[in-house]
This record gives sequence, structure tokens and C-alpha cells, in this order.
Amino acid sequence: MTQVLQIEHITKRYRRRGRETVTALRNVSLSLNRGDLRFVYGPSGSGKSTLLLCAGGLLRPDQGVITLSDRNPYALTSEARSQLRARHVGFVFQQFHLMPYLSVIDNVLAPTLASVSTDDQRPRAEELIERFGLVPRRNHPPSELSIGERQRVALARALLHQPMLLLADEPTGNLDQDNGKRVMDALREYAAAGGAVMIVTHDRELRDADALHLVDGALTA
Amino acid sequence: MNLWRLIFEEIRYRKIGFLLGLFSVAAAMTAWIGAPVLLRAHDRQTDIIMTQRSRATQEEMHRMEDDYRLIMRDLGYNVMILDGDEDLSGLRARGHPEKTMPYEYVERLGTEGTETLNHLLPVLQERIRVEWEGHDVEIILSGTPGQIPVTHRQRFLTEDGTAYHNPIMETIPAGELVLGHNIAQRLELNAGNQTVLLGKTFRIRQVNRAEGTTDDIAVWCHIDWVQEQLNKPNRINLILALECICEADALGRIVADVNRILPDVQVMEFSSRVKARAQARNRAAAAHRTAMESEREHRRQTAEAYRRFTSVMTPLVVLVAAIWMIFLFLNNVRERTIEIGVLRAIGVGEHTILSVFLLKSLIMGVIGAMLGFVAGHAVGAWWVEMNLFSREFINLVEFRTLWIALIAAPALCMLAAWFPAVGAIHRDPASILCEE
Repeated sequence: MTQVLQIEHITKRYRRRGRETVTALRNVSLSLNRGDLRFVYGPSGSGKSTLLLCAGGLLRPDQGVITLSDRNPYALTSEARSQLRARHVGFVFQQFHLMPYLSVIDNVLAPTLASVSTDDQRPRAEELIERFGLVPRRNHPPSELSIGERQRVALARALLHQPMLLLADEPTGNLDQDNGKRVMDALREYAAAGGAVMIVTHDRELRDADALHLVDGALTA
Repeated sequence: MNLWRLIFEEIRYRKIGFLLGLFSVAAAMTAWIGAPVLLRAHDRQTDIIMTQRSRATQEEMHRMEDDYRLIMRDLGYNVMILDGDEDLSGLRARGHPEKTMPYEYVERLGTEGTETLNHLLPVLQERIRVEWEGHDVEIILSGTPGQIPVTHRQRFLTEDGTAYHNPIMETIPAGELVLGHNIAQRLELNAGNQTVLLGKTFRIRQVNRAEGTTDDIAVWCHIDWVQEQLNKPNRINLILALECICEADALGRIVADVNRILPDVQVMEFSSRVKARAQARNRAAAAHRTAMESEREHRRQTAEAYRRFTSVMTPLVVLVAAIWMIFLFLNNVRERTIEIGVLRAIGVGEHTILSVFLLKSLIMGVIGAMLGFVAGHAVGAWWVEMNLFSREFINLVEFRTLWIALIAAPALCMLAAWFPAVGAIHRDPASILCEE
């Protein structure tokens, strides 16, 4: 099994001026291999999003080491870290964060702005649009999409470069049951195809037997 | 998907913000380009107006010459009546006639029903050398009693028929002198001065303007004293007949009319027509020069006012536009904070994100420069009421300023976009995404 992500004893504190320091993560360790689908469950404010951002190379932990695709992203320059994210990491956010002025196809193609691949990504984007049932909405802007459609666009965008690691923050948080199931099926399918997927959620129904619990920044099995 | 598509789609989506930015760049460029255009257009207009006026004056002066001929025909001739034996060939050199006539000649002309004469001025004059004010000078001593009435020309005369309403030459009272310009200058005499001439004390009544003729050494006084000094009682040697009524080529009629009354005199026209015409032309030219100078000065002052106004307004407009653009870009960056966070999350580098803002500002600057170039020329020319479709306007266009504007406007925009964009890319993407 190829290891994709290794998190070792990371701690993250937020220091806010004039207020007490908040410890979002305490000595958290976990690892993800290819084909893993890992749930991290925790209530609001437990540090789930912080864990996701640290894992994705967006938020430097105060202590501990993260290894992403055999490299410590925080030992790299900002530009190199961006390149690493572009090649190996996909993000799915609860709020989708689509570009409001781009059509579905252009939103899916947005990661090509990072120019990590010289290959033409359009066929791959068209394939994802078809796979997620978005063909009739291909040229529509996000404002003309349903909530479920938006999350599927965000998922297609995250999968465009076929990243080794897919990080999903409450991916079904805003979806109805049908759309939620559709997204989860896609994520499971991606993991089954060899991708590593980490989902942080507060939804008890999503967690499985291997789910990790995050309570006050500390991870428990 | 590429940067340009992202930029153009974003511009299309937030078109009002972009148009406001574009408007401010165009306004700044309009002010910057329009100010010198206005001044150039004003200068050009000045040249055109001056050329047109000069041409119009030339035409007016030609017309005036024609008019003058007509007027002179209506006003009549100025003639000299001389003794029949006067040698005309030496008259110009001497500056005065030699032969004398009885004073009664002029009285006869005034009373015996002349058909052509209007104003009669009997004169006795002679060139003499005198000791005067310590100088040995040559003068033409000239005496006249003033105008002699032509009795049947009652419309020119006062009720008692002894004087003219508007005499061509005023009677010089006894004890007063009118001096030619040259003699007055030489003796340093001015109007109002007292002087002693040939043992008699006179007051200077007037000093005539320089004429460039022997009139400049003439000394005019009452005829009685001159006749006494020259020992020629009741004699005159010249009758000036002024404004004689005649049509063109009718000098012969005047001669016949005069000879009917005084058979032994000769009549000759003198140069006053040419002189009067030249004087009129000179006066018109002087008036034209004054008007032109006045117009030029007025336009110079207007140009100066424009220059002062634009020297304050142009930097002010550019400054306000720059501040306004910084505000617009700050607002744009604020609106796109999440977008920036997401782009960072999906691996788009800082430089690429910075390029998104700078390229957008570049587009704004280039379009704004071109709009400002057109608007600046149009506003500048319109301000001075120059026709925008005229050749003068086309000559006014300096394409060099377009190139400068195409550098300055994008530079201004990129500077305005730079600080907000750099601030945005240096924000921690994690904090942006966590905030959401």
C-alpha cells in the first residue's frame, strides 16, 4: 500500500490578539494510503477544518510533521507548495466555492490555471461533467444550478487532475439525502479506484466503523 | 481555461465595477491629454482668427480705397489759385508762390457766384531767414485771415453770413502763431509758449503734426502782420479753394468757373487727395493693428487662464482617479477573497493570482488610454469651439500622446491594482477558507 499522507503529532494553536490562545489540534497523527476512505468525525469547533487545511498544505502546524506524497509541504517555498497541491491534492468544500462568473465547464477546468499539466484537460472535464450528470448544465453559471449540482461541480473540479489525496470538508453538509448519497458514492468510487480520501464531517450517519473522532482537537479512534 | 478567459469572464460578471474603473482612467487621460490639446487648439484658433482678420482687413482696405475715390468725388477737389504769371515749375522747390495777387480776388470769388468753390482761404507766404530764439532759421512766413465766406453757400455759414459753422482752418487771432512741426522742434517751442518773432511777442497757439513737406517749416499767423512784415499790403499770393464741388475729371469746370470771375489767375490741383487717402489708409491700418493686438492679448490672457486652470485640474483629476481606482480594486479584491482562497487551495500560485489583477488593470488602462485619447482631443477642441471634422482638428492630433497614454494609463492602473492585489495574495488562504 502506497502511503499518500502521513500526519505525525501535529499541534495547531490560534493566537488571537487580546484573547486567549485556542488550541485547534493537539498531537494529532494519522496516515492515509492509496484506496483509503477515512472519515474524521467531530462536532463544530473540534478542529476538523484545521486538520484538513494542515493536511492539504494550506495551514502550517505549530508542531509535528506532515508528509504529503513523500514531501513535507511546509519545507517547500510557497510556489512549490502550490505546485504540490495542484498535482496531488483536491479540495471539496461545504460551501462549494465555485467561481460565480464561470460556467460549469470552466469551473471544472479552473485547476488548469495552475498549469501543472500540459495535457489538454478538456476531455477529462467533459467526462467528469457527464459522469456527474451535469451535461444539461454544462454552460450554466453556478447561480443557475441547484445546491446538489453545485457540489457535484465542486467535486468534478477537485477530481480533474486525479489527485492522490482528496480532502472533503462536510461535502454533504448542504445536500439533501439523494444528492448526499450521490456525492458519497462518487467519493467511495474514487477511493476504490486508488485515490486517498479524507472526509471531515459532523454528520453521525456518514461515519463508518473506522471513523476517527476529533474532540477538542485531539483524535480518538 | 486560461488566465485571459478568467479575466474576461470576471469583467463581464462585474461589469459595473470595471466600467467605473474604466471611466475614471478615461477621465484622467481625458484631462491629461485634453489640457494640452485645448491649449494647442486655442493657439491654432488664434492663428486662424488672426489670419482671417488680417485678410479681412486687407480686403477692407482695398474696399476703402474704392470708397475713398467715390467719397473724394463727392467731396470735391482741393485746388490752389495762383497769379497767372506764377512759375509753377519752381513752386514745389520754393514751397510758396512768388507772384502776388490783390486781396480783393478772394473777396470777388466769395461774392460773385462761383458754382464750384466752397471754402476759400487767402494766404500770403514767403520763405525768409530770421534770427529766432537764438537760432538762424529759414521759415515760410504764412499769413491768412481765415476762411472767406462764399456768400451764396449759405448752408455752410452762420446766420450773419460772415463765418463758417465748421471752418476747415480756424482763424488765427492776432498775436498768436501756429508752427510747423520741424521749426517748433528746432526752436523747442510748444503750444502755450511765448516767443518773440521779428520784434513782436506771440503766443504759440498750436504745433502742427509732421507732414514731411515744406509745411513743417511754415509759421502761420494773421495775414495783416505778414503783409506788414513783407511790405505787401492788401496782397496775397495764394488762394486755397478746398472741397470744390465737382464730378470726376471736372477740374476743367473749376478752372472755367474761377477764370470766369478772375481771368488772370491759374488753377492747379494739389496733392491733398492722395495724402488724405494715404492718411485714411494709415489710420485704418493703425486701427487694425490695435484691434489685432487687443485680440491677441485677449486670447493670450485666455490661454494663460486655461493653462492655470488645467495645471491645477489635471493633476487633481489624475489623483482623484488614482484614489478612486485604488478603492475600486480594493473592493474588487474584497469581493474576490474567497475566490483567491480557492485558487490558492487548488494550487494556483501567487504570481498567477497577482497576474489576474494586473492583467485586468492592464486591459482597463489600455482601453482607458484609447478612450481618453479620443475624448481628450474631442473635449479640448470642443472647448474652444473647433469643428471636430475640420482639417485643423486633424492637424491637432498628436499620435505621440497616444503612445505615452498607452504607457501612462496602464501604469497608473497597475499601480492602483498592485497594492490591493499584493495584499490579497499575501493573505493566508487557510484563514480565508476558515472564515467561510
